Amino acid sequence: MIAAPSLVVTLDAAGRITGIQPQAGALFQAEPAALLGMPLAALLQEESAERLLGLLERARAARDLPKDADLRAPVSEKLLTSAGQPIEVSAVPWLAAPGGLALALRPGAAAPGVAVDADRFLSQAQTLLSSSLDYRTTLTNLVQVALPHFADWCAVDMVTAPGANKTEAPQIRRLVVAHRDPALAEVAARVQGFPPDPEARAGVGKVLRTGEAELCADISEQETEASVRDPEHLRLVQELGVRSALCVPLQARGRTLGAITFVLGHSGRRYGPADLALARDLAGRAALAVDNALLYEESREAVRAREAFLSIAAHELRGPLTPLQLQLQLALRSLRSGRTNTEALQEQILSCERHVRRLGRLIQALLEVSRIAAGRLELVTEDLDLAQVARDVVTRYTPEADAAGSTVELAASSCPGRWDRLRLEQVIGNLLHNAIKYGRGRPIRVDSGPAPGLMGWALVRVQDQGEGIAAENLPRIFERFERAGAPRRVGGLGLGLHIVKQILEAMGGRIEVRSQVGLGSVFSALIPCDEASVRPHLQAQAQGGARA
Amino acid sequence: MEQIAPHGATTLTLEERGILVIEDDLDIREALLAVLADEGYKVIGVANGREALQHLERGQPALILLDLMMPVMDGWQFREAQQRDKRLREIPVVVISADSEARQKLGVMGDVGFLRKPIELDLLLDEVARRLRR
Repeated sequence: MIAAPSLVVTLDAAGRITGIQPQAGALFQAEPAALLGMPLAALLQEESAERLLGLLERARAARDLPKDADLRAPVSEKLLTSAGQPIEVSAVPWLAAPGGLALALRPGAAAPGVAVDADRFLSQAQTLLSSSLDYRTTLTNLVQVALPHFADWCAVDMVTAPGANKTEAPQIRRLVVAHRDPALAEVAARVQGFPPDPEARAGVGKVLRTGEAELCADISEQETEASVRDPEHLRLVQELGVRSALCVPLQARGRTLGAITFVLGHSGRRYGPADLALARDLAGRAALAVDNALLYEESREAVRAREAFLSIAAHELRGPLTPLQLQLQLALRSLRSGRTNTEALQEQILSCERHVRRLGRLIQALLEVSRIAAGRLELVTEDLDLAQVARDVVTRYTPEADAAGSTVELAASSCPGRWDRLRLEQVIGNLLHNAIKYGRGRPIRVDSGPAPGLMGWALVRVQDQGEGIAAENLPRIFERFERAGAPRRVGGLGLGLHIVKQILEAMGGRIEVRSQVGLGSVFSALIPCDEASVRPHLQAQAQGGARA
Repeated sequence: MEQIAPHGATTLTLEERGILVIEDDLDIREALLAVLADEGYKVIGVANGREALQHLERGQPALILLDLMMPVMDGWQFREAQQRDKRLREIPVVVISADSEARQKLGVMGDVGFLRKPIELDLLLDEVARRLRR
C-alpha cells in the first residue's frame, strides 16, 4: 500500500500530532517529542497547509465508505515543510482513534535551494508591486512577501546617484532591512544604519556597479567578516545570521536603480540556481514598478515646480501692474476733476513708463529661461575689463542695496578678457541681487579679478552675511524655479541663479557656493577670460582648482 | 483736513495720525503714497514689518495698509506682533496682496480688510475711508 521507507505520523481528529516516528522529526528539523500535540499544518508552508487540510478531508470521507468499496486507496500530496523541505504525504484513516488519521511521510527529492512555490510567490509580489505608486512602500511590502519562505532576512538598497561608469562607485541609500523573526526586527533596523560599501569587490556594491546578480550559495565566516564595516556591524550581521545569499539588481531602461539582497542564516538553508532565477524574475518586476513610481514622482515634481513658478510669476507680473493701474487711475481722476497739474501728470506718466519697463524686464526673464532651456543662448563677445563691468553693475544695484539696508563693497582688480557684456552683467547682477534679497540688510562684498593661481581665468565672488542656505537645499538652488528660502516671504521668479549657472556653462565657466545657515553665503563664478582660447587642460585645471 | 466722528464718540484727526503703508516693493509703495496723499491723507511708507514696528514706537497711525510677502518681517509676522502689543492692537489694518488665496487665510489675522493687487483706486479709497470711519 505505502512504499517503504516511509515515516509514520498519526493525527487526532483536530489534525494534531498524536504519535511520531523518531526519524520523522528530522523532516521538520525538530525533536520528535516537541512535535507531539502540534497541529501538523503549523509545520508546513502556507499553501501546503491548505492542501493538507484537503487531504485530511478526503481521507476522512474515504473512511465512511462501505468497507468493501474499493475506494480506500490512500490519497497523497506533495507538500513543503516550513523550511522548504519537500515531502510526500499519504493519508489513511487511523482506526485506532475516532476521527484520527495516519500519515505516511516520505522526504521528496530536494532541489537545491529554498524551493518556494514560484508562481504563488510571484503572483503575491505582483499584486503588491502594483498596489502603490510610492516605491519605498512597494519595496518594503515586497520584502515582507519574500521573508517567511524565500529568505531569513532581506535588504533593499537604492542608488541615489549613479557612478559615471561601471567602475565608478554609485551613492547608495539603504532603504530597508527586515528579518523574518520579529524578535530580530530591532537588530535588522540597526543593520540598516550600515549602508553597503559602494566600492566593495563583492556583494551589493559590486552588483550596483556592474548590474550583475550574485549568488553566494555558501558564505564562510571569513567572507562575512570581509564584507562588514566594523566589529559592531559584524556583531549585528552575525546575530541576523549569514549562510547563503542572493543579490539581484533592480534594473529598468538600462539603469540600475538598486538591489535586493536575500539572506539565509539560522534556518540552515542554501540558495541554488533556481532561487537566483526566481529572484531575478522578482527583481525585474520590482524594477519596473520602481521605475514607474520614479517617473510618476518626477512628473509630479515637474508639475509642482511649474505650478509654483506660475503662482510666483503671476505675483511678480502683478507687482508692476499695481502701481501702473493706480497711477493711471489717479491721472484719469485728476483729468476728470479738472484739477490737473501738468507737472504732476508728467510725473505720473513717467512713473507708468517705468512700471511698463519693469513688466517688460520680467517677461524678458521668463523668455530667457525658455530660451536657455532650449539651448539657444548665443554669446556676442567683445574685449572688456571685468573690473569695469563689475563696477557698472555694483553702481546699478546700489539703490536696491540701499533700500534693503545693505552696503556693497567692491574690490575689483583689472582683468581683461573677451566676454558677452550683457551676459556677464547678468551673472554679476543676479548674484548681487540675490545677495541683497537674502542679505538681511548686512554688508555685501564683491571681489572681481583674475582667478588666483589659475592663468586665463577670472573670478567673481559675491559674499553676503544673510540667512544662508541649509546644506540639504544647496543642490537645488541652481534649478529652475527654485528658492531655498520660504517662498511666501521673498518675491522673485526663482530664476536668477538658474540663469547664472546656464550662462556660465555657456561661457565655459562654472559656479560654486559655500553657505552656512545664519552666517551667509559666498557665490564664486569662475569664468574663462577668452572662451574661444580655453584649452581643455585649462578647464581640467579649473575643475581641480575649484574642487580644492 | 477732514474730521471723522464715528457715532459722535471720538474724534480722529488725520492731521495728527496718518496712514502707514507697509510694502516692500518701492514702486507699489510710492504709487500708494501718491494716491493717498492726493486724496488728502497724511502718509508714511516703510519697506517691511520690522521697519513698521520701529516706526510705531514713535507714533501711531489711524490705519495700516499691509503687504504680505516681504523680506525681513512679512505681513503675517507683523500682524502677530501688532496683536500682541496692547498699544497697537486697535489700529485698523487693510491687507493688500496679489495672492488671490491670501483672503481665505486671513482668519488668523483677526478683523482686517483685504484688497487684491492690482488695486482699484476707487476700492482702495472706499476701503480706507470705511476703515477710518469705524
